[in-house]
Amino acid sequence: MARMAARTALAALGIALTWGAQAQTPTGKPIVIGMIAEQSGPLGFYGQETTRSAQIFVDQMNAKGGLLGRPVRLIVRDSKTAVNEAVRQARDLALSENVDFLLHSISSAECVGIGNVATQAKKILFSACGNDDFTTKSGGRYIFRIPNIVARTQGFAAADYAAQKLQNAGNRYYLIAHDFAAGRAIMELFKTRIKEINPKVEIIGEAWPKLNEASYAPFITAMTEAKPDVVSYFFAFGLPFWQQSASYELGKRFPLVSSYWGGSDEMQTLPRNSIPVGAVMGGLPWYAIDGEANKTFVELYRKTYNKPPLTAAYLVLLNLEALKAGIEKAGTIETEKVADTLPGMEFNSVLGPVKIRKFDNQGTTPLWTGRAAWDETLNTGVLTDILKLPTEVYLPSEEEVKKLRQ
Amino acid sequence: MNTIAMQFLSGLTSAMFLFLLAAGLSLIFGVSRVINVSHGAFYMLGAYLLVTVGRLTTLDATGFVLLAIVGSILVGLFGGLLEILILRHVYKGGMLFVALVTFGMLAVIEETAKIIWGAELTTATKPASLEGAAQVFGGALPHYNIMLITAGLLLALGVWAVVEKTRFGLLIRAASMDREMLSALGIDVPRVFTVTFAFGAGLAGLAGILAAPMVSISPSMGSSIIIEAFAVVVIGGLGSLPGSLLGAFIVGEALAFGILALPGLALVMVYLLMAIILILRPEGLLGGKAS
Repeated sequence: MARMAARTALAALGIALTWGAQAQTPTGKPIVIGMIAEQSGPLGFYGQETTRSAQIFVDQMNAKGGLLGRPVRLIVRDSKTAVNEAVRQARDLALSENVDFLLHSISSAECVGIGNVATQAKKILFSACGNDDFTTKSGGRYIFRIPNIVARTQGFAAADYAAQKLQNAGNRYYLIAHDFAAGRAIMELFKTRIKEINPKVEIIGEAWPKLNEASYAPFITAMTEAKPDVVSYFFAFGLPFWQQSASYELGKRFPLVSSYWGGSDEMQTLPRNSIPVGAVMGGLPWYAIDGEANKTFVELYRKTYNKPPLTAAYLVLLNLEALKAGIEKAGTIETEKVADTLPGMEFNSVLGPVKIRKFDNQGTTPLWTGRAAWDETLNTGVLTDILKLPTEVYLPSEEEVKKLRQ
Repeated sequence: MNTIAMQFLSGLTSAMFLFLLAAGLSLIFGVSRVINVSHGAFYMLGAYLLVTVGRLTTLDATGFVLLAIVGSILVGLFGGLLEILILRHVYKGGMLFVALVTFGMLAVIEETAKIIWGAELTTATKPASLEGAAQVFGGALPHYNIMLITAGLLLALGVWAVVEKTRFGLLIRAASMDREMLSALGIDVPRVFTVTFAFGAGLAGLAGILAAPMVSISPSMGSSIIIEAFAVVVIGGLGSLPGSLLGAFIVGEALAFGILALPGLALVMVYLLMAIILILRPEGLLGGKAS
């Protein structure tokens, strides 16, 4: 922790020195962003990453003269990956700390509850969770999400990838997913979409391991014995599955297809011999994103934390970029004026131009879906043969959103 | 036929995985009546031992076995130390209080691990010679799973031999039956407790080292798995080692065949089984009558 803080400080200092010449030192009352992140508990892996990303973005802003000339301060609270704790921290940040804006990390279970707090306290909230309800059923004037990684997007993107790249593999599909709300929803969406595109698809079997499953051997054997043409899957954490399935060489038996956004992050974590070569998965892989903005971000991230960013880092970055653009366009941090400015706004993000939809405050970012492989030069697992799917078409229409909110 | 045999073998893999964890838990409860929630922390420490050594050097099969032995002894010694420093002083607070103290120990060890190794998920590599799979019944059975099944069976045999054939085993059995009598006979009961706790913690450490290449490693990895291990212990009968083996076997195989018949119920399978067995036999399959 101390080392990380030191690194952050060093990086901030480096940027300050570089920018010092042209940037004004921010002055005045700081703009305070209150962040709720899963720094501990089952999602601690992601919460740490989103916090890192938010911190370097804020440091960079301050080094470049702040926001509207004012310094920006980030307060981070640990949700412990628990809904009640997340809501308690959000309430404390909104009411006791009276922060100017709320920022949430990625937990799909937490974001709706935090959204209610934001709506009641009339604070603008950005979250990067994958819960469809966040901007639809539970959405509202103060609720924003830029990354489009909802269940619909992940389910439909997997089906589209299968339809475009695996049409010769066969029609007998086997489904395996973690047994929780998102897992069930995504598999249902996948089934609907793939059958729409290819009515000949037949689901020959399903498996629903629990979230913390320790031993996947029975699931893997059952899957291979069913002899499917294609396996569609979705995992909240895929690492144990990939570790345990490596020796079965599943990729040689049938294609595995998914678009779960954790895939690319997991490939960056797995040892070489556990990479499920050929398996299809999603994410925002730092090495595959075009543009100067990304290059600068990756460089800065590397310099600060000595490793490349994960998808989770991008998810929070997108939200912060939107908030900054919105405040600059509004010329004020006054909640109501910023809330008027953001809907319908277009801005340049690290992933390229992004639009915030007017009727549900949802961003329209693409999702990268590709096959797992090992990269000798990068010395890490990567996604190749990538389809950058324009996911705007997967989001619900204005009528659907209206209906859901009734 | 082949499908059934393959499914049986993969069920056995799950069973051994659970038994490695449940054995120490059951042993400690049998002797000192401690519901050791911190068991998961020793499991986690075992896994991080492999991660740490794996970062320094590439392990071959011999090195891996050596690490498993030395590592479990180290974790066991650490467990024994904690028993002397903390648990020994709180036994008289009653079972629930001691369980709460071990819960506290779990939290402290987990947080310390977070400071040392970070909260990131990490993975461990298995020795190259344990990669790959054997062809059995026309299907693939990974070498590592074969190793795990063998290790589980050897461990069961070894622990049985210690409990049934050694003087320490005799003391363990005596302590689990009548502690006052044992004390009256001039046996240093607190020492029996310490050694048993260390032995149990060592088994958890061993489970952690063996499981490390198969799971994602994080400081909180122990707390999520421990509930299932408890279920196995309860099904088998609290404090009974053969019970834990039987419990693990039943849970592993029930899961393996259950997912073929009722794939949607995998989430609740273990607990459903536990509920049914507890209704039929409240003391567990091989547990003695509650005293």
